[in-house]
Amino acid sequence: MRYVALVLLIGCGAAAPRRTTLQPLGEAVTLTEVTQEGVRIPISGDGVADVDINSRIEVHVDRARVEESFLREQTASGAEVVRVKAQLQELAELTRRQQQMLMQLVDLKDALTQEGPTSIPSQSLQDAVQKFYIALKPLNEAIAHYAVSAGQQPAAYFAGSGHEGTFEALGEERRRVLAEAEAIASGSGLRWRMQAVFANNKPIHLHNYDTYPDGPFAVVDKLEPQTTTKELSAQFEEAKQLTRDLKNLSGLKETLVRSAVNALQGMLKSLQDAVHDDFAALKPLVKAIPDNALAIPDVIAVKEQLAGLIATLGDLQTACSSVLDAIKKGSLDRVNLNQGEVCIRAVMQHGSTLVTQAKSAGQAVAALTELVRSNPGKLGALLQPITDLLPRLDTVKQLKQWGQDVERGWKDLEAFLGANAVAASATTWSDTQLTDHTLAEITDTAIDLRRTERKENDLLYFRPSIITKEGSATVLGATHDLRVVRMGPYLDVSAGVGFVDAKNDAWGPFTAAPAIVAALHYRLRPDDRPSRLFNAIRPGLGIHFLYPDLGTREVSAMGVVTGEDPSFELGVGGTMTLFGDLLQVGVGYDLQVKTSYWYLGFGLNTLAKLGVRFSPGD
Amino acid sequence: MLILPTNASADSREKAQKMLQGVVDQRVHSTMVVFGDGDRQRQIASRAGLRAANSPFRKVVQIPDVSLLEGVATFGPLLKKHTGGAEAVALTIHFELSSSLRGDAALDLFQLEQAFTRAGAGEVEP
Repeated sequence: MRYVALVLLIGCGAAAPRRTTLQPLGEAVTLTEVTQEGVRIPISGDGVADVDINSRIEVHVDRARVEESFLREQTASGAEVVRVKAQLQELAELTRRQQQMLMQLVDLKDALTQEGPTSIPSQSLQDAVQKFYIALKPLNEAIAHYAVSAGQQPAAYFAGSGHEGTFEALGEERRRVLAEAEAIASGSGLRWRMQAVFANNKPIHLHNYDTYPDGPFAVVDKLEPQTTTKELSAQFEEAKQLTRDLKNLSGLKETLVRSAVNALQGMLKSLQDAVHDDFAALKPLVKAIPDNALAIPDVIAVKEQLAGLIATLGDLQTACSSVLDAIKKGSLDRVNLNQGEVCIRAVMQHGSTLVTQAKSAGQAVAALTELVRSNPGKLGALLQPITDLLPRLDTVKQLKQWGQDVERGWKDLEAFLGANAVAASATTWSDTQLTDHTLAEITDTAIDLRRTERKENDLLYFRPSIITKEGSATVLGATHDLRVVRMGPYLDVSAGVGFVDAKNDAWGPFTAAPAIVAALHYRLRPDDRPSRLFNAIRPGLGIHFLYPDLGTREVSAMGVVTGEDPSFELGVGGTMTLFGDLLQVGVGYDLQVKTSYWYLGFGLNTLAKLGVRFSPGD
Repeated sequence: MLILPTNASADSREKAQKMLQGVVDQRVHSTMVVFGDGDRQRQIASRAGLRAANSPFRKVVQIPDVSLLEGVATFGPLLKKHTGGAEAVALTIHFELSSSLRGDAALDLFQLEQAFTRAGAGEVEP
C-alpha cells in the first residue's frame, strides 16, 4: 500500500518522499544499485554502503533540486532573483511537509483497512487520525499564506481531488517557479559535474560525464575464489614458516615483533642518526635563542617547532636506545624481544607526530636561516649564538632530509599496520577528462561495475558538484562511499595454521600444521541489525587439507629429532570458519597415520587484508 | 457522498434518520452536512466532496429536506444550525458541531478544507 502511494506521488510529478538531509547536494542525486538479477536497491547516503561486485549503480539526478542549488549559488541579487529564491525555498518546505502528511495518511488508511470496515476504529487509530488533522491545519494555512503572498487564490490549491489534488497543485506551482529559476540560472554559467573514483585514486567512468574509457565487460564468478594462485602459494609458504616458528609458541610473539622491527628499520635508521647525533645539538640550539629575539615570529616558530621535536625525540630515545644501538652496530639480532616491543610501542605512539614535527621544524629552520641571510645587519648580532650553531649542526639540510626519511619510515610502518592506511589517505579527485554540463544538458548516468576493473573490498567514492564558469567548484557535494563486496554465496580459499589434536583420550598436545581451507560463505544484504551482524561474523563451511604431525618421532639423547614415521602426513576433513577465514575449527582424518583429529586454527587471508604478515622481511 | 431521501412520507423519514444515524455510529468520519436541495446546495456538496475524495476519514452528507430529521434528539443541534442560517456544518467523528459555513465561505474550497480539517482535529464549536 505504501509502495502504491509512493508511485502515486511520483506520478503527481514530484520527487518521491525522501529523508531530509543536510549534506551538500545530498537531495540532488539518488543512487540505486541494480543487481545482476535486475533487483533495484536504493543506496543510502549515510556511511559506507556495500554494493555487489556485479552490479550497476544508477545515478539519478533530480533536475529540480539542481536548479534550486544553482539558484542558491546565483550571485546576482535583483528583486526577481530574491523573489524566486524565496518562493522556491517556501515551496520546498511545503512540499516536504506535505509528503510527510501523505505518508502518514497512507499509514492511517492501512491501519483502518487492517481493523476492518465494519467495526468502530480503535481508540488509538482515532487518536492518530485526530493528530494527523491537527498537524494538517497549519500546513493548509501555510499553503494559503504562500498563495496570498504570490498573488494567488488559496482555493486554487484545493480545487483538486482530495489531499493528492493539493499535492499536485503544489507540485505544479513548484514546476512553474522552477522554470523561472531555470531561466535565471541559465545565464550564470554554472555547470553540473559528477565524478567517481576508487580509494586508490583511479577514476571510474561515468557515461556522459567524462571521457575515461569503459573497461571490458566482466562478470565475477562468486564461486571462484578471489585469492590468486600466487597469493595462495605465498600464504601457504608463510603458513609453513609460521608452523615451524609455532613449534615453540613463544615464537609467535617474537615473529610479530621482529616483523615490526624490520618494517621499521628505515625509520629507525634515520632516527638513529637524528637521536644520537643531532638530538644532542638541538637542545643547545634552542637554549641559545636569546629572549630578545623572540619578538621575531620566525624565531618563535623555530623555538616552538624544535621544542616539540626535542620532546618527542626524548621519548623515543628512551624507548628505542637498545634498538638504535643495534642498528648502529649493523644487526637487529642483538635486540631482545622486550626491547623491540617497547620501541615499537613508542614509535606507534609518536610516529605520526614525529613526521609532522620533523617537516615543520625543517621548514621553520630554513625560513629562519633565510631571514638571517637576508638581514645580516639587523639580525646578525641578535642571532649570532644561533648562527654559530647552525653550521656545526648542518641542521637545515639534515632536518629537511630527515623529515623525508622519517616520513618514508612511517609509511613502512603504515604498510605494516595496513588496516587503516587506505582509509587514512585522502582521495585525489582528478579534474581532467571531465565533462561538465549546463542545466539543460544534465542527464542520469551509471557506474557499471561490470565494466570497471574492480575487486572485492575496493572502496569507491561518488561526488556531485557545481562548477563555476571559471572551472572551480562552488559547491562540493557530499560523497557517497561504496564498498565492493560479493553478495550472496561466495567461495574463499586460503592458507592458514591449524593446531591439531589427535582424537584420543588425551587432551593435546596441539601441534601446529599448515593448512589450506576452502569455505563457502554467504553475504546478506545489510538491511537490518541481524544481517549486519551475520556479515560481520562471516561464518563459512568448507573442507581443509593440512599437514598434521600425528605420527611417531625419534629423538636423540640430545633432544634432536632424528626421524619421523611417517615422513609425510596429509589430513582431510571439514571446517567451520568465523570472521572469514580468521578463526577455524574442524575435524579430519590423517590418511597416513590413519587416525582422526580435530583442530583449531586461523587463516592468513583476512590477516593479509589487514596488512599483517608473519614472514620476516615481508 | 450520501444524499438523504427527499420524500416526506413516514417511510422516507425513518429511512433518512436511520441513514444519518448510521454515519453517527460509524465514528470514523468527520462529516460535512450540507442543508437543502437547490443548485447552490448541490454545488456546495460537490465541492465538499472534492475535499473528501480518496479519504476514508471524511464524508459528505446532503440533507435535501431537513424537516425529516425533526424529533430526533441527536440531530437537534443540526436543525438548530440550519434554522440559524448555516448552509453547511462540519462535525467531528463523535458528531459534535465543529464549524458552520454560509455565504461565500460555503463555496470556498479552502474554507471547506479547513472546516473538514478542524473537525478531524476534534475542534468543537464553543
